This record gives sequence, C-alpha cells and structure tokens, in this order.
Amino acid sequence: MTARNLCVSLVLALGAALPAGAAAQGIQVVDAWSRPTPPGMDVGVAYFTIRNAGRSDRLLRVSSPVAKSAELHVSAMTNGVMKMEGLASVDVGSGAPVAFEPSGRHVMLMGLRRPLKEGDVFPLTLTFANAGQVQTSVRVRGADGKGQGHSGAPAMTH
Amino acid sequence: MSRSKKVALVAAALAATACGLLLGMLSRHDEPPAIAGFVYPEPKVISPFALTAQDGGTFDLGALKGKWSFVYFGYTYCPDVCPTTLAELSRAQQLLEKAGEDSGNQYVFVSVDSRRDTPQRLAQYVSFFNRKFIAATGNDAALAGLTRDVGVAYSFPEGRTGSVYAVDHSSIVALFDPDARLHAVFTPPQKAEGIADGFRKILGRGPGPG
Repeated sequence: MTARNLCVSLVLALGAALPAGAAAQGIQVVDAWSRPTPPGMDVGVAYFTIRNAGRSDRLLRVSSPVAKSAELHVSAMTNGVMKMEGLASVDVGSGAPVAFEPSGRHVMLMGLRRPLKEGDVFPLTLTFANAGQVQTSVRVRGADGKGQGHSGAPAMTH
Repeated sequence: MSRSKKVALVAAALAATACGLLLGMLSRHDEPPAIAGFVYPEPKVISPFALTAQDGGTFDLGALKGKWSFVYFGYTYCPDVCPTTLAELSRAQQLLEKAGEDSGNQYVFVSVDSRRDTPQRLAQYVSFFNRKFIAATGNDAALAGLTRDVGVAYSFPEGRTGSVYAVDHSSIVALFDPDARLHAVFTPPQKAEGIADGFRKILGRGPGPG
C-alpha cells in the first residue's frame, strides 16, 4: 500500500467514525431550479449544484412530494444523437462542485401531482451515502429558464 | 422495426449529417456564413412528406413554402433537452421579432413520438413555450422521408411498453428556406443568440458590428 493509499484509507476510516451530521455540513445543494410544465404534462425536471466541502460522498437518490418518483438522469450526445440515461448514483468529490444543468445531469420528476408554475417553490430531498438526507428548495423559473431566480440567470451559465 | 433496420436507419442519418458537415467544411472558399451549426453550400431539396398538424390537418412540404421555417425534432415527454432547446428557440424568435426579422418565419416542433404525442397534446405543449410555435407529428412511415433528408435519427427502447419511456433523438434545429429547401442546421447545444445571429448571416444582413 502506498503512502497515498494509506492516507486515503485513514481519512475514510476517520470519516466513517464521524456522526452523519458533521458530514452533512460539508454538503450544500444550491441554485436549485425547475421549469414550468405545460398542462397535461406529468414529467418535470430539477437542476442544482452540489458543493462538497467535506469528504467524498455519493448522491444515491432524490425525492420530492410534488412527484410520484424522481430519477437521476444524464443527457449525453452519442454520435449526434441525444440519449437520456439513468444514473444509479453520482459521485460528489471533495471540493469540485457537481452541476446538474440543462442538457447534462438532471433530476427527472415523474408522475407530477400538479403542474409546476413559474414562481412555485417545492422541496427536493437528496440522499447521500455519507451525509444522509439534504433538503433543498427548488424554484420554478420561467419557461425560458430565466426569471424568478435570485440572480435572474440560469445556473447553467457559469 | 428490426434491430438491423434501425441500425441502418441511424447509420444513414449519421452519414447524411456527416456529409452535410463535410460539405459545409469543403465549401469554405465559397464562404458560406459560419453559424452555430452548418450551412448547406447548395440548399437541399426535400422529398414530399405528409405529417399531421396540431389542428389535425396536414403538415406537408407545401407548409414549408413561402416562409423561413425553424424545425426542431423531439418529443413532449422529454424532460431536459427538448424544453431546453424550445426555450432557446423561443428566445431566438423574440430576438428576431425585436429586430424586425421574424414576420416571415415559422417555428415548428416535430414530434417523433406520435404514439404519445397527439395533435391536441402537441398544440398545448408548443403554445406553452411560444404562441407562435406550431407542431406536427406522424408515425415512423410518415416521418421516414423527412428525418432521412434532414439527417435526424431517433429510436425507441427495445420492447417499450406503457407510457414511460425515453426516446433517443438527434437534437437539431433545421432551417428551411422559403422554397422549402433545407438551408442550414443548428447543432446542439443551441443558444438563442446563435440561432438569431446565424439566421441574420444567412439572410446576408450580418450579425451587426463585429
């Protein structure tokens, strides 16, 4: 075992000994937003950025009371064709933010219980392997992805 | 559709797209405008087709004549890429309208998922993004010629059942000229500014200063 691996193992072992609450403080879910849904549409989307100031973690699943189910998805271009695929989990390394953004990783909300309207705010619960549950508020922007956000600009434009 | 047939269809669509790209690059000395996508050196004639319009009527080659048409291919149950692209196309329409370059244009959403996307559903869907948007759809046979000519590939999951499935599809915005010929393709990720600037360049009006 290299010194580096040893260090990683030690950190992981120490990390595992910490209470979940301490790790949760390291995870922040920010700039969560969604799009309004047309009448009769029961699928929606949620975007956000995960910041992790703590140790490496993994997003396992998401849920929201506005939808019967929610899945982690990624849109990816393969040979010119846009494919949407399910993600079993998403690694959230220490330091680098993980963006869920248009035409990339996103949460697909399925079986919406009511249409999402511009200006609505709804809760989304993210469950991490180490940090446990982290809740965020998702704001529904205009259909063009603008407005209603605190900065007035979509999170996709960094 | 058999697997081999589907593969052949995708391959043909990819070849068409690749040829378009290649022609676009080769024709640099003719200086077609550089846009966020590619411009056909010679506008491409499209075979006749007949789709069902959002009002239940027919949307065919004739419906593309006499105006510039921005045509996006997708499906309404698409949660991410289609709303993202339609939102940008809607902003492009607004930018062009402000610049007085929109009056002769139409904006069409073509659903490749006619099984779920009824005309009524499409009407509701597109007007939600922009009141100027219209929509059309058709079954695989009705879509075959148009998607082949434009270079759009799409496929459904094997053994799809029920109403929950994702559709893989080319996410392009095709631009047809008033003679219903394919003039240019805006490739993903499309931005409103890129579409509007590209259109102005194609019209020969330039993007303004710079």
